[in-house]
Amino acid sequence: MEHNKFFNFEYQASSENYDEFVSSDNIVRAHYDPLSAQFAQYKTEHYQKFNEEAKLVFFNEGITFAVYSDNPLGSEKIFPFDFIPRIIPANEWNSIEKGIVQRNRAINEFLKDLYHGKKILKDGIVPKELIYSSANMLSVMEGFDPIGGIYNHISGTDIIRHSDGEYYVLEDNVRCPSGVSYVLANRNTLKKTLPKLFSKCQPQPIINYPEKLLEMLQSVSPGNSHPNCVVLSPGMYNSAYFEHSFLAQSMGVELVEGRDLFVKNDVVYMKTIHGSQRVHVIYRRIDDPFLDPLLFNPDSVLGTPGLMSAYLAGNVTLVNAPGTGVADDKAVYAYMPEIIKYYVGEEQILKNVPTYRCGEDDDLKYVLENIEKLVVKPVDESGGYGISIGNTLSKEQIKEVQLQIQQNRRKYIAQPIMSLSVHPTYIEGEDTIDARHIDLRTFCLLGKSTEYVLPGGLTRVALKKGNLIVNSSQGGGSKDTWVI
Amino acid sequence: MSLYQLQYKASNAYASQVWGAYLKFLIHPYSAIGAQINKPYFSSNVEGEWWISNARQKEVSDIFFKSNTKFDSLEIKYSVLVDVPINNPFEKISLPIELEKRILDSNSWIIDNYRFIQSNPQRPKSYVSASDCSAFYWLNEGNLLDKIICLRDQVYHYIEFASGHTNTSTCAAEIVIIKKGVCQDFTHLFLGLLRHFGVASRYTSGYLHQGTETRGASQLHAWAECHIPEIGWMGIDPTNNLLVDHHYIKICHGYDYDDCLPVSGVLNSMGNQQSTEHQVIVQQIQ
Repeated sequence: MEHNKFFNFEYQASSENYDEFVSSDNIVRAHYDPLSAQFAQYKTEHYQKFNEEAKLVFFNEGITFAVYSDNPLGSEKIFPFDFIPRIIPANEWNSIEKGIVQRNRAINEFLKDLYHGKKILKDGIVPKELIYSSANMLSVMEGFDPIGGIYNHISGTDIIRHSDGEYYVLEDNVRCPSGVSYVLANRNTLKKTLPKLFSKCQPQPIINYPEKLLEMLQSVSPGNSHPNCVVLSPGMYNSAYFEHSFLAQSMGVELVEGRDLFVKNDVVYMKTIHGSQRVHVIYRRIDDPFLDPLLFNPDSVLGTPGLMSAYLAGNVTLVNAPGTGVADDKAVYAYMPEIIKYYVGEEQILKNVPTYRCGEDDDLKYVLENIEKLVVKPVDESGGYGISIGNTLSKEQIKEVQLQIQQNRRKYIAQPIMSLSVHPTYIEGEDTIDARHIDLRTFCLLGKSTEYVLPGGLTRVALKKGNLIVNSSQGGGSKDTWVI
Repeated sequence: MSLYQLQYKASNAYASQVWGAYLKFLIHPYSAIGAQINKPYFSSNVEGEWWISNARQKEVSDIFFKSNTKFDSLEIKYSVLVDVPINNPFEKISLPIELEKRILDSNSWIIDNYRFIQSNPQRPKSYVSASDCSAFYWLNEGNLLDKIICLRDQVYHYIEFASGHTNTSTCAAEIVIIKKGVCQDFTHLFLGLLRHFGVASRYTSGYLHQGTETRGASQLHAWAECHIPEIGWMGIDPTNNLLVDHHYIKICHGYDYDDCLPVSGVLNSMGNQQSTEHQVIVQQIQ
């Protein structure tokens, strides 16, 4: 372990992981020079002040997140924010951006094919059993053409940088990916906290994301030049409620719950004090099973009865389309290189992490014998729930995981333990700066004839030393991400 | 063509007052069989609005009823005229056995029909295990239709038609043991067996003309449809041991009964449904 004087601290550059800030020969990477120079002028009390200021901004603006891992009822917390920004050089970002668009275009084509001719299954590229055993494959979507042919209007692609310095896609999220409001809130906060550094570095702007989002929503409206778009939220008890209200407010559209809408003659209306108003596009932040009690979960009170009939009649657009979850199943992820090649005719730009599918005999055997070297993930969970990291498990826990896998093989995949890159992070309480693991959630919008990737995205940071799970629902925090 | 007047009546009583309802009825005839459907009429003792939607599948029509009124009982009446083309199932000719087998074994056939071929223990109403199938056999020789008819005969003779022994939650595996049931039980067991033997088959609900000596005509009826190369989806009624003809007026199809519920919806109420009665009248006019 090398010790260097950066940030006026003894910063321990990692020898095992890729350090975003310093190279293996302990030299600050060129794109971090302005940040390093600026931070060298600060002392401990400055860092404490930045941290307190950032927390105050988050507190005052109500930027919170509910965590359910400790308390089943959820506890509302200020979303932890680290004021040391992550920097991605523009040339690296260009390649990431191309890779994200390529990947999400391919996923869209894949979904279109699965709900129509199923050519990819007939050609034997993806096994039919994998698709038909997915609870997210919705028969009601068969043969339906969403407006503009778009299914995954909003995608969240999670990317990590491994110890070899290469970027890898960890997973695709094409249901209701969350986190973008924190990107905007982080930027807003950092601008206030470190205005000089911000002005010196001039990162690519992200302020226009709500505008781009609204533009995309309007582009897939069913035939109205002034469509009424709304954000549909499960309500204030949802862990991402802050984001729902933030996005609705920044786009200037209504935030609604299922009970605020009703359907008549296959048309969706919103109840307002001025009477009912037709709704054309719904950015729904409710999972498929809760959208419409008449077609999915009959006990759900989160959705709106008749909503799916209105959607299938082409009178309202749901963003993202129902049934997209079949494509972000972690077992399908393993086939992404083939899926990209099949639909786009190109090699993947962003690499996949090698993945073992426990549903397959050879893979299962390898996984059961090598759990301590692997990360085992349930295919249908998100938010970091249900993940087992092999090298952190006791012998008893390994046995438990082996049993879980054998009881429901289709439910699990395993991947080698990837070494997430590290980044200098202010450690509250210790008043020091230390390396912590990070990843990157990117956001891509696909509209009728538009595509947009938010420059940077949400850098999530595992605040506990050595921890590899960065999800906010598991107590992780985030950083502002600068593309310069 | 055979002209029928169909009537569906349902009465529901509720333990507590209801202050709003959004209901979906699957009682309107299926339109893709060349049937001409006229004069649909829906009425209710409760004030509300109704409309017909064929958004979900273009041939299937859902009737929606929305009410913001308070009520403690709901009666609905629905009637429609339907002109059904003459359908003689015996005119349908299977492909030569070898060709039919090649199609049935092809990857393309299996993928296109996978949803209805797959035995799914998560949908137990029409799921049977290998041991449940031991009382039945599958012909090794002949074309697919012959094999299906042979299986239909076995189901028909295996179950005694009797109401009161099962309900809408009864699963195919239970029918194997009880050996008694009504049309949906015959159909669920038949579907479970068909899928076990690799036949694409689906649950079908509809009206049955009661002019003949048939079982299950006073309620909505259930039968199976099997996908047969060249012939298409063919109706087979294990309850009456018949091939489906123009006396059967289809409403919709699905994997099992749960996809074809005649009524579903949301009621704003503090209590449960107390009683429910359904009545179906199918009257041949021409």
